[in-house]
Amino acid sequence: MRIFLLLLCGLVCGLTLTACSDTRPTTAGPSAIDEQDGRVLIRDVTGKRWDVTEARNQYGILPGEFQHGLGPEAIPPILISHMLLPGEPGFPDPRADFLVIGVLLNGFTRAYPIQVLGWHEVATEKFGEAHVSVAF
Amino acid sequence: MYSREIDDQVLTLSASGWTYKNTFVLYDLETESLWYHLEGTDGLTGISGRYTGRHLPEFASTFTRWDEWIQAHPESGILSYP
Repeated sequence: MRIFLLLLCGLVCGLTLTACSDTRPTTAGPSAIDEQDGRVLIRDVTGKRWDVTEARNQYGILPGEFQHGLGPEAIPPILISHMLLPGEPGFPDPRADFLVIGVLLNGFTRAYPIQVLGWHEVATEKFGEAHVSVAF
Repeated sequence: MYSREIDDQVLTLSASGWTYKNTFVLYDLETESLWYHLEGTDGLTGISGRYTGRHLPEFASTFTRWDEWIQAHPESGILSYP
């Protein structure tokens, strides 16, 4: 009888834990949404608060639908990029197979590997007099 | 690829850490305005902060494979990363 009760207890506990794990949140929205004085602020995982009042009021963007909120330091941009030119050491084999964003602007021709942009999201660039951001 | 020039100022765009509808939300380090590629529009729209309602135009770019790109543009440079 004692063994039966232990098994029953284990079964109930197991089911309870399973049920609990199934109810864990599956989204990664804002840590908090604060409304004060008509302003709406969402909080990211670092505790930084972002005012999204105009986003909601003018563009119908839902504060609760922002995702991840990793903080502005999580994905640092490339601030100073270095271009390899054909013939320079490290220039990729022309037969290599990887994805790039290619740009022709103001007489410059450049390629940005998707893998690198994936790490940084934004490369800060200048094509002649044009200041641009290459984003993926 | 987007312009980062507005009102004679050059912005530094960066990932805010947020996404919305699976698209990165950018922000500028100078004013912390949020910038987002609204569906059905070209470029980035300021959706929050000082530059709300302002626009950063998009420049043409090509999403392709390196071998195809360098064959068509043998003079092309490529972003180096250590």
